[in-house]
Amino acid sequence: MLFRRNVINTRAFEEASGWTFKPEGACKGATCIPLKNPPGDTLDVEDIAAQMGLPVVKDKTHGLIAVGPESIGAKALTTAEAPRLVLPGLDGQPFDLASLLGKKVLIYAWAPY
Amino acid sequence: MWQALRNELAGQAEFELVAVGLDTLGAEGCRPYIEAAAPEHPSLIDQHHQLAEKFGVINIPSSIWINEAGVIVRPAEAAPAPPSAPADAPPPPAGELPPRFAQMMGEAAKIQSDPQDYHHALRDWIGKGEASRFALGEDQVIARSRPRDENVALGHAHFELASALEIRGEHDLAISHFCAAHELVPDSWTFRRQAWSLEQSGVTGPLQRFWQGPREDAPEEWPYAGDWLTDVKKIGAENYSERFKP
Repeated sequence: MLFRRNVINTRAFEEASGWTFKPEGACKGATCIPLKNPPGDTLDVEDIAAQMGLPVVKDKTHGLIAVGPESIGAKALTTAEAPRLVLPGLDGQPFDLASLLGKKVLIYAWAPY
Repeated sequence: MWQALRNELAGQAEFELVAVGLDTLGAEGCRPYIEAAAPEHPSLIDQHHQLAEKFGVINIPSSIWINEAGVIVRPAEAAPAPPSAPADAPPPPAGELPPRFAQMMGEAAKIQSDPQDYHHALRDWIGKGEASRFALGEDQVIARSRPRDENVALGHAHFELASALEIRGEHDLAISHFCAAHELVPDSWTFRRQAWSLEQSGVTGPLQRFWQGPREDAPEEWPYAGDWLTDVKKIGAENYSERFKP
């Protein structure tokens, strides 16, 4: 996840991270991380990352804040529920993986290098 | 190859293939290949390697299988081309290639995969759905996803920042974060190949981004600890792609 400001809309963080803020904490699937200071409508990226145990790397030149994924359970996946994935095609139009609910889907990853 | 398979399987069941090109250069890097393939299925651009962070993709080609309810039934794994696919055009004679490419092709020829087993499993799942023995339960899906400790998670943050800096034209700043990502996520071939492919290779044409190693005329300028040929030889080409695990 990449952010250009430290204070952002909480909803934007939820959409980027896949974590949802609930009374019991930050939740994804059946996993919830209790929070000492739950966010309101906005949050401080570094503060919430620290509370959730997410790594942060910053670049001062461009004011960029990169937040890494969780390492709960020491696995890339904490749930089998497919994460939200919205990516553009060549025409720049976003495609939401969720639009294929009801079909079996094979995601095929390739690279031009 | 995959287009034909997709059309065949989509005629048998509610099925869709979603191709995702991972490239920091975005559409610019992927466009020639997508336009040449002219896919009829969704073909997307993943400029920030979200498939690595969200699904644990570490190499290409890889696949993830997701059922009708949006549940992953097989996490990221090697996805060999269909066994019935026509053979690729024969490579040019080694004598016409720079020695490095000839060596790379020699190593690539040793890479092992299991197209028969993989595609038998895929067809079984398409036909039987959850009753297929190749459709894994949630615990198995999670257990088979890539290991991710705090260092790996930090490596993903470095890679994200490196990509963002590269996109902003800050190539020199990006390199140190790519290096950190390589050190922290040593099993990711895509993190390494992506960074290597962004260096000037000294060759031109469609193979330019596949050089992935020091320039012959300025090897001292290579900024990375490894390169494709050295790293593949180190682990053994036969171990480059993970074998299919039913």
